[in-house]
Amino acid sequence: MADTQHTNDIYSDVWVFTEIQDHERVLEGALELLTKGREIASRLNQRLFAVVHALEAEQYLPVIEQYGPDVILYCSDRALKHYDSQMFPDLYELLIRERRPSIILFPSTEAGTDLAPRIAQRFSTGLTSHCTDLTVMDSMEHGQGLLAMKRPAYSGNAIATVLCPHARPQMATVQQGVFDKKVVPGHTAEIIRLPFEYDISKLRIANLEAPVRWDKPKVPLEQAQIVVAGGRGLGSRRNFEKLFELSEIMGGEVGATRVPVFNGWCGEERMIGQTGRTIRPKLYLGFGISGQIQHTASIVESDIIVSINNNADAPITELSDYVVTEDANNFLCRLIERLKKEKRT
Amino acid sequence: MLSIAVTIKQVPDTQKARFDPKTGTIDRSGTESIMNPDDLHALEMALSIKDRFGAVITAITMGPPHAIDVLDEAYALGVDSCVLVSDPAFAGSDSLVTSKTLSSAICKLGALDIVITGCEAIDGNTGHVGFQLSEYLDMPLITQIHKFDVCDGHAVIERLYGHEYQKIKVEFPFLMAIGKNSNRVRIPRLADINACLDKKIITFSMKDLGGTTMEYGSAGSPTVVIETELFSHKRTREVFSGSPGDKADLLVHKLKKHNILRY
Repeated sequence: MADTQHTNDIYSDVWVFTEIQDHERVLEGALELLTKGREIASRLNQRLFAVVHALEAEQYLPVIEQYGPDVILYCSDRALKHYDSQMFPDLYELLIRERRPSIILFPSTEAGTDLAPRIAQRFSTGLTSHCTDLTVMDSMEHGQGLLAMKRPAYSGNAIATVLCPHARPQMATVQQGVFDKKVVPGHTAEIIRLPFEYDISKLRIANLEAPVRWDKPKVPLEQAQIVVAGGRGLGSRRNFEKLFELSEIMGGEVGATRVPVFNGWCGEERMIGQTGRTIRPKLYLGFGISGQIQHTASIVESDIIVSINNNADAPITELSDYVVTEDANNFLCRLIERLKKEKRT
Repeated sequence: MLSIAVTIKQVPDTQKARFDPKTGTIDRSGTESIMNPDDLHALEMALSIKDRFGAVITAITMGPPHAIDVLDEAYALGVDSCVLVSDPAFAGSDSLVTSKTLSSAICKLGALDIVITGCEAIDGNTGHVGFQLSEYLDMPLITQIHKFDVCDGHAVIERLYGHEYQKIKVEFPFLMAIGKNSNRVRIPRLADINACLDKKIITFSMKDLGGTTMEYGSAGSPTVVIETELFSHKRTREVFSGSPGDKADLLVHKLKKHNILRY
């Protein structure tokens, strides 16, 4: 424990990789992590840092400041327009060696899940991915003021609590939607601009043609108020596609488990689950979903859960508010019919 | 001729795995072990490169002695040699130490042009190893590959990166992480399945990789799992009765009551 105390003296402060999405907005998940980071930093009596690397980064600082960081470290340059898996880890590595944070939190995005394991390797430290809860823990055995990270384990059948007792920084990635974001009224932060210095000739991947913009789904599932999700039990692409009709009528979005995505009934961006998205809509309707825990762990925050499944004992019924024991496809057709009639009258 | 290494992993079939809440471990009795699904796609990538450009492929796995099953499967699919990285000292490795151990083993294979991994294993779901191999081996990692070609001593790859579709040029050596969307996996011929069982498998133990037990397995892992609890999120579970039509009516009624349907 004396050992841990020593570590705590050298490494201090909580950092959040404050990701900028599509060079136009601060990622929601980053704001959620700032809110959680605020809580952790206050508990540890340490400072919260928002770290921002972006093109014209200044424009994002007022929004970031509202979520409670004590310090904003930012770097602004044309070269930082998009996340780069060669440049960002190098820039972060230097910054961490210089300032020695104790904890770094990353959103589980494409960029965050690339950056975090690379940093962990460079500092021979631990990384816990897709955490569902973060708290501060004092342990007799492992030391004081440690970050306790909970994540699904054994393919989601259980929740494991993970510590990184000695190596620093302690690192975690968290999916968007797991935590709430909360503005700290009247909060101001110290703002520090970092110079941008990078030897571009080091880069080993070269673009041969101008990149083409790739279209993304209209409304992110994380922000949908109503999610109608389908699983294996719908049986075919044709049946699955009726979900789009239902979501249209109800004003929601379509989600899926692994099977429909795997079979190509819908795109991967619709997958809800441990490796997909975490949602917390007002209403979740699950058609033909038995409730593999990888999926259900990501829907438990929904206000209302309704499951439609021909198996009355399917695991998903356990966490349902309402259970409909019917053939999923039949019931889907009937519900669409019923709602259409409702709309006409 | 290209030289390729593919990292593969034996995992419990998580669709069928049972969790023992008392011991906090997977009850492996009655649970089938399979090759990690993404790794089949990684092997397929290597095999298709071999078909098109010529290559020598080594499959490498880290795990207990019975992990040899996935190497036999790799032989049946058409790889040229297989390496098992196995030692009691490797047990309990977290993702960092796994990456470190695997990269030491890969370095012992000699000069390579391409290292291929699956994106993620279905038992751990961390997705760290590809990125950390990229760091340990100092090779750039290419993900979300849609098209692959070799021309004039370098690779030309089309990939998805963030919200961009890119055509890039990469010098050898480099790493690729392959997921299920990259290709369609081939099925081994029966004759190849029969022949594979006699083929030679090289084993690397801790002695071959060097170092002490403190650097490997749980002792060398920076993370510690201190608690494992069963997962439960039970709710009221009101079961609707009546005809399908009654149930649809009842659902609409409930959703109106919750102010979700407003017409």
